[in-house]
Amino acid sequence: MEQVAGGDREVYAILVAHHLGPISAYAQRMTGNAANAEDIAQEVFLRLWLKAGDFDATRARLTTWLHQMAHNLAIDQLRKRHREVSLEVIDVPESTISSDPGEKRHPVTQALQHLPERQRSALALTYYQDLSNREVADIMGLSTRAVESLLVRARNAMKIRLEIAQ
Amino acid sequence: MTVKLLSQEHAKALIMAYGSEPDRWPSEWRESLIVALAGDPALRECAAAEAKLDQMMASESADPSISVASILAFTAQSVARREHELTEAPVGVLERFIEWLCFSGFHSTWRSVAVASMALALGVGLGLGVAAPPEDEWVASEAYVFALVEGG
Repeated sequence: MEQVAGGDREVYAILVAHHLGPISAYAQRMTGNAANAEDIAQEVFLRLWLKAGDFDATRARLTTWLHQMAHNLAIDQLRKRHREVSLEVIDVPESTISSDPGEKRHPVTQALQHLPERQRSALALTYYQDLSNREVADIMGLSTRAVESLLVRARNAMKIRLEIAQ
Repeated sequence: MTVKLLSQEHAKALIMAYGSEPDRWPSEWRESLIVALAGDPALRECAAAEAKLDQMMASESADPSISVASILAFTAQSVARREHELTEAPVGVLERFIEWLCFSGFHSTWRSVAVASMALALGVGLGLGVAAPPEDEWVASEAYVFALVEGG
C-alpha cells in the first residue's frame, strides 16, 4: 500500500485485479444492478488510489477496508434511490426498484433483493465475501451479536421466500 | 485443547446465523459446535434445514463483468480531472481577470470607464469605512474643558 500511496501504478493494477471480483460481486448483490455495481467499484478503487496513505494495516485487512467503502457507497446509493422513487411512486417493492428490467434472475438473487438492506448486507458479507464475523461487524458498525441477529432474520426470510421447510 | 461449553439454544442460534458448514462457523465456537451437533438430534435437524439454504445460496453467483482496464481508465481520468481542477482553475480565474483589465482596442473603451469607476468606488468605500469620532464626543470634551476653566 505504501507503493500505491507513492504513485506505483503497477502495484495498484495488481491490487485492483485481485480485489475487483469480490468488491463488484458485493456491490451487485447489494444494489441488484450491474451498472450501479460498476459505479460503486469505480469509486472504491478511485478511493484506494487517492487514500492509500490512510490505510492502516494494523487495524484491518485491505479487503475489509475496501468492503467497508463498498458497503457505505452501496447504502448511500440505495437510500438515494429510495428517496428518488418515494417522490414518484408509493409502495414500490424493493425488487422493482433495484433490478435490471427484463433480466431473468436466480431465485436466490431475487430473494436477496427482498431483504432489508442491513440483513442483505450481513448475509452477503458473511456468506459470499468470506469475511469473519468480527470483520462484518466492523464494516457494518455493529456488534457481532447484532450481526448474528441480522443473519438469523435474513436466513429465515430467505428460507420462507425460497420455500425451504423450517 | 478444551472445548467451550455451549447450550443447545446458543448452538442452534449459531447454526441459524452461520449455516450448516463448519468452515463458516466462528473459529472460537467451531469445536464446541461440532461436539454439540454430534450428540444432539434436534441440532442436526436444524442444521439440515440450513444446509438446504446453503446449497441454494452456493448455486447463485454475482458477476457484473467489470474489467480491470475499465477501473484503471476511470481512475486515471478522475485523477487527471482532479489535478487539472486543483492546478488550473485558480490560475485560470486570475488570468481571465488580468486579461479583462489589460484591454486593448477601441471596441472595449467602455472598460476604461469601468476600471476607473471600480477604483473610485473602492476609494469611496474605504473612505466611508474609516470610523470618524461621533460629534457628541467633541461636544462633551469641550464642555468638560470649559467647566474646568470656569470652575478654576
